[in-house]
Amino acid sequence: MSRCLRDRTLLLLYEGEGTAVQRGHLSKCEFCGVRYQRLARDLERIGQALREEPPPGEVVRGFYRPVVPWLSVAAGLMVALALAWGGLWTWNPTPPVPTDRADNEEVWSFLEETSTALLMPDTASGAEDASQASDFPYVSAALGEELPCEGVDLFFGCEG
Amino acid sequence: MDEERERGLDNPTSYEELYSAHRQQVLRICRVLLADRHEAEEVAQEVFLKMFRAYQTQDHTQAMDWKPWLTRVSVNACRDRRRTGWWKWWRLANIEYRETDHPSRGRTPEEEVLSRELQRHLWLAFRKLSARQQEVFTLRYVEGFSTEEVAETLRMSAGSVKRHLFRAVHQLRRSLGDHL
Repeated sequence: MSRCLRDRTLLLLYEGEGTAVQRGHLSKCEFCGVRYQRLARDLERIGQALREEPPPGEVVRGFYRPVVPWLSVAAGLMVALALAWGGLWTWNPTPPVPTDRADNEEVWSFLEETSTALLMPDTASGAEDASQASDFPYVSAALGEELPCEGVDLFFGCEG
Repeated sequence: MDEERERGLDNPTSYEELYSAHRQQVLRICRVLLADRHEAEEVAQEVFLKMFRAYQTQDHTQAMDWKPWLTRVSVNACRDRRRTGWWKWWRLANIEYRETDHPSRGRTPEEEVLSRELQRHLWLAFRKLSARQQEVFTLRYVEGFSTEEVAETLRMSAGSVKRHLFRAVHQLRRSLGDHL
């Protein structure tokens, strides 16, 4: 075996596994021997450091921060919003009727009918004629003419 | 006999005996997995409460190996605590650094600074590992379990334990770089 050992193989050898060929290479190759020694030293130091008290504050806060999968949460929200919007669009394509307009439907129709009746041209002129006819004797009296008697018949004159 | 006692294979005469035999190990696992001494003590109490209940219902005529049971319960309790520990982020923001919590262990000031720097980087790197990688690494290199014992305790295959171990070691060494 001429090629140097991979890190994974070094760890396997550290764990007491690996083949005889790999062990043979490790005993002969100075470079791999140094790497193996470093791996063993690093694992020993890490294990030792973890057995000691963890530093508080900053480090521990750093521990909880990565637990929040912000990217996943944001992506999930976006998908949920898109689905909700799509669902609304599919199930309710027509724009909703304004509630005020719907509630005042009767009032609107009443107002339309009333305004039409009031502003019809024939009705308006007829009312004006009638008003003119009824007020004529009083207008004439006010202008100096003879006051009509009681019970006057405006079209056929006084009875007496 | 001492080794057997250490492994918990004996049949202790009392719960107190079991407690004192395993307290340090349970506390250490919780402390590494939770990175908080006070939190670790709380969870360790929960674990020993479970052990007390199990001890009461146990058939005392047969010896029981408590170590794997306690380790499994401790790891699961820490996992549960981390899942439900959202509020802690806010609480921990106000924790003050107290020198009395970190005795110097007879080092020189320079060694002390280097040690704390390494510790800080190490814990940060360790926290970036997945929960499973942290558990496997802790049992193997902090508690000194064999690969098979880790697999049995965490109910995983030995191959899976090795994969997690390799990834954890690779990531830790890469993150720590020159600090080691």
